Amino acid sequence: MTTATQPNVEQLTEEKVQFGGLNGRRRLTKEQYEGLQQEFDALRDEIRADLGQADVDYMKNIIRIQRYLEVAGRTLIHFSFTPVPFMLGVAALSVSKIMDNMEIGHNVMHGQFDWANDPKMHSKNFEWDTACDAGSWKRTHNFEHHTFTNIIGKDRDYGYAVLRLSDETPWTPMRSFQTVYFALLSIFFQWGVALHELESERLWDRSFDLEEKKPYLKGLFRKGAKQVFKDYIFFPALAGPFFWKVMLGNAMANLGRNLWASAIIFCGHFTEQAQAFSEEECENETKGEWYYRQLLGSSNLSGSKLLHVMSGHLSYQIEHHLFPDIPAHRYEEMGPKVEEICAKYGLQYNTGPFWHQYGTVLKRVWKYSFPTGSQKRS
Amino acid sequence: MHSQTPSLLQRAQTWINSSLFNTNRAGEYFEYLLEGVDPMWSALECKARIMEVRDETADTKTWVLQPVKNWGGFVAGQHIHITLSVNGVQSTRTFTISSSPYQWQQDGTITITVKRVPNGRVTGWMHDNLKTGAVVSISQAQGEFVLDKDVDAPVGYIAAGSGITPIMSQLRWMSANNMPVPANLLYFANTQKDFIFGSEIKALAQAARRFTGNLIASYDDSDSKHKLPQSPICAEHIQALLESKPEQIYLCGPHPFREIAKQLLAEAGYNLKQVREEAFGLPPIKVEAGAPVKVSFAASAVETTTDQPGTLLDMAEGAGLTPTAGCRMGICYTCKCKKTSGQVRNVITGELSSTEAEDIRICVSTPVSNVEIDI
Repeated sequence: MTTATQPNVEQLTEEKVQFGGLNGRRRLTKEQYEGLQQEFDALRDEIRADLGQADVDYMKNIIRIQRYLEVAGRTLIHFSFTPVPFMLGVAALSVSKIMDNMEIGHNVMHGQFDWANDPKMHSKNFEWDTACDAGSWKRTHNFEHHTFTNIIGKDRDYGYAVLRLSDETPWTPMRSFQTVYFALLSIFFQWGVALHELESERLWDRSFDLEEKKPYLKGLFRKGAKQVFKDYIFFPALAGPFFWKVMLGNAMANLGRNLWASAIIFCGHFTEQAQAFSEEECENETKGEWYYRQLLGSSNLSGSKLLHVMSGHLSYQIEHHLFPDIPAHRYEEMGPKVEEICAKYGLQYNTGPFWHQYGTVLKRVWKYSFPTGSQKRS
Repeated sequence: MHSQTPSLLQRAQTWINSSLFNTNRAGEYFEYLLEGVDPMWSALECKARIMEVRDETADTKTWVLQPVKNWGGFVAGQHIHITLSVNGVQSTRTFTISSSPYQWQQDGTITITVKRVPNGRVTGWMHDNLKTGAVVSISQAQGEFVLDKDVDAPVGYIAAGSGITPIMSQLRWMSANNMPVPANLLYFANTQKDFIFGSEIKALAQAARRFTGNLIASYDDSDSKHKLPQSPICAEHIQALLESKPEQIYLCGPHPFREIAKQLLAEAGYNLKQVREEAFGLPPIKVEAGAPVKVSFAASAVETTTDQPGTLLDMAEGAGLTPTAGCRMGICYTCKCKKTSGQVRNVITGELSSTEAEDIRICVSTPVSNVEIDI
């Protein structure tokens, strides 16, 4: 880089980035945005050119482990007569669902392996073990959330329409109970995700159009019925007199997956320092500005290899938002380079251990359940 | 593959599979598990192991394959699709079987003989990396470039370069079968060194009275730049071949070569209906002068505009997309996609599509109007 693009690094004060306030965010010059874009593009191209057999083998192995765990989990739940094997079965099935949803489904559906031309790991074909059908997910997540990340009013993942996470969202009395909604959303997360495209919040301002939602609802019922059939009818019925035991085991496995998946996902964008953006400031955004928004709107989790795999490498949420179609297990090697680029431009690279980050999410949900900002009564 | 109303039972089975395994075919769920236990195991495909790799010429090799027991066999002259992983990219190519069906009956092996295509991603990789012990997926054999069951009249063969492979399978079969009918071969290659199976053909011509093989090199060996006076194929060659009064002529080679050969045959008064061709690859796309067309890949929110459209598959890949694709010649339907609007032309048949929404194979479709497609 030439010296012209060297940013004048100034210390980011705690206050400036606190709770993602829209004001006081560090801005770059036009040249800096261009430099940022070039550096991120180059990093992406470098990894993209290096993709090969090892990446496909990695995903095949992950899929194998997931399937062995699912078979083992369902078998243990079915044949267990004491709590220990039963709980082992629940754990195995839960981990299998987590892997299917996060390291496999989420990443495959982003098209991270489309280049491999294997129909079994192509985004066009992949369906996952959760209530939300793949088509709906690709519309709401891949398109809406990844394009409009953290733009209040456009990114419906920002608070999932039930959580208020910044001053820009007006406080209403209903928000007082948002900690309860948060807990419910975590427990029933797969159904929350499945219902996301319904946009039920539009019932309030009466812009909800049932006719328009019909194709989506059809998909929702079709997929939801299959999940209910599998976990709560078919496998329990196979166990005959132990119907309720298997049903309980499956429900516990789903609960485990729901709690873990929601925690990881909330840590991606709702942490203390993940910033929010207004529609106005994102108008006519350049690619460099888009990178900037992805960077500041996301936060990472530091931890072990196991944490990364079990989170579908969403622990590298920043890298994922910068490069959503690069196979996620490559984010680990991209991370230090992204951090270096951030340091160069004086931008925050938001990371921390899981419990710390999750703690700030809880704090933020609690804080914004009360009136803040201009609505704060003096 | 083609639309057919499934029975209630099939629909129930599909529904249960998709509930339990998140895929309509249960085999897909178990596929990687089986592959992990033994690469020859598969619930979906036929696998074959590479038993041996032989050099034929400087740029051509033969791979000896042993397919799994339930592979269905073949008739001399047929081809198979081979799917292999080229640096992680699943790639399918079509190759004729060069061995005789007798060999398969005896020891369960077949051979393919493949020339390295200059800059060819797949053939280049095969030449460098596909070694003994590797496992590939193969399709059932198909193709009409075969001898009729009750063949009783002389046959003629015209081959150029690696076009000899399906013909070699037929010659080997006939040779093992004591040459049931007279057969005459015209075989063209750049230099003497480039004749694949050259010595085997010569030996066969000496041993079997009812077979003649004429190997014609276009260039002198010592100096490949020096062109011999005659063109690669000319009227005299055709005359000599027609003297044996072949009832069928089998023609295999590059597209321009086949066009010249057919023209010469027609000029010599031979009925082209008696010519069977084996055509690999797509014919060159005819560009029709006209306004530029816009192709919208709707699901990816990508658009591309050009006045020289190629196949939609090439255009999608050129735009940085990665739709699934297989044979790239309109056979396997892997690349089938929904065209939501616009008209396309089939580059093989020249047939124009409707302008309605319909499924098309993007590898053999080129846009003739603005097209929107669900990729």
